[in-house]
Amino acid sequence: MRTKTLDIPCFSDNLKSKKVPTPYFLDLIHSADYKHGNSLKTHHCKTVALLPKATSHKEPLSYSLSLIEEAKEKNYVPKSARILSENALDPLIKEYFLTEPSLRAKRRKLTAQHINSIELVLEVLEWSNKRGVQEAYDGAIDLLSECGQILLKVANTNARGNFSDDKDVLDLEAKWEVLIKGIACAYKIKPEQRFNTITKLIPQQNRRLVKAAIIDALTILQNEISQDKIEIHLAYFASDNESDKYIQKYAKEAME
Amino acid sequence: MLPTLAEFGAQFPVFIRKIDSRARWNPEGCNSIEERANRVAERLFTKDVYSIWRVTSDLEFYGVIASLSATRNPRNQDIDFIWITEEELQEVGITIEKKIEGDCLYVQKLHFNTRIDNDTAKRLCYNLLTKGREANRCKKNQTIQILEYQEKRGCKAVKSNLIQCECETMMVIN
Repeated sequence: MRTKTLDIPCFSDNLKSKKVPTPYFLDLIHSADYKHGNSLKTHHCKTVALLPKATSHKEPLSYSLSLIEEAKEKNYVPKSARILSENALDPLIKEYFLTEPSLRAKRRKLTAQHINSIELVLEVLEWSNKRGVQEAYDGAIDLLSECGQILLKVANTNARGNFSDDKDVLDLEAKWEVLIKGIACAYKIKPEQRFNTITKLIPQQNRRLVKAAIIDALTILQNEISQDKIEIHLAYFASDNESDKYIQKYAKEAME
Repeated sequence: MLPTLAEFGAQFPVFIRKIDSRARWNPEGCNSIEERANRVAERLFTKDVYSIWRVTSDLEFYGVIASLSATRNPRNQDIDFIWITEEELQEVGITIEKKIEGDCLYVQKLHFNTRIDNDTAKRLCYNLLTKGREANRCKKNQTIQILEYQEKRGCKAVKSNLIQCECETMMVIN
């Protein structure tokens, strides 16, 4: 086990105005303020990561599993202060994403069973946007589709924040896109719960990518949720209430 | 009615590249084609190796859709893609390498891997956007129709079983 301590300047006013380097999205969730349900206005938070040694992608799945078993034996529990970085990744999730896309389906269920904390869901989102990983976006949505209620917890956190035109916020919206679609596909969660969680996000979004993801999610839920309920939300996006003409058209197409 | 690639404005032969989402092809707040091309490349070309399929008929297109859907959950989702001609790949110096992939026996030999660096991706996107190329969507109901059609043909990408699919039968005859 390696220990890593970082001194991190945190957000003020959620994610709105500052550049937000990728790890902050993850660290934000893990801050003590979040745990106590407060808004995220701490200026500095010291976080400590206790992580198993990262595996090479050449190491077999059994090795990853043995790492998890070892961690369990040593009473290792993912800490709230966990930091995700290139050198600090969950071995099973890492193994999944480093597996050739066509072979990932075989590992999906097993990997998803292991995803039982907000931290691990956020790690999947981190992978979904990682440069150099083949079909990371689809791989992440497919993996989340096998997960359960934990996805709703992530969606309901304060981490949403407001989006602005910041490069790193583009990174955040991309992760929201994956999470929203992942929730829509998560068949282990009741359709009503998925639908309610996704539609609750609507008033808080002003980014095109996220709105489009919500529309796509509603399309995915068709046949599971009554068409009337879905069309109410699509009609909202298709109306003049929606200022983005692209989204208006996007919603209209979804209604066809 | 099954969709045709002609409906998406493509003429055979053409390369199909699945993209993460259509919205990523249309980033907001871009003031020029160059800016849009850069943003699209940043969003959609983040890997080293990319899968593309060379199709010469609608039947092959259906096999590609079936193959792309095979590992998805649920299978019957929208599939967003762009089509690119061989000339457009050559214009920016993109080379392709055949790599058998996918469960549909008919199209697995039509799969190629290609390496595209970030600068090349930007040039490719710029060229495509200059021509007005938009991202396409095989909509959920179209995907369903294609999967049903492929299942009737015994396509292995839709249903894995021991029964010969139509393609295998044709291979045996040939």
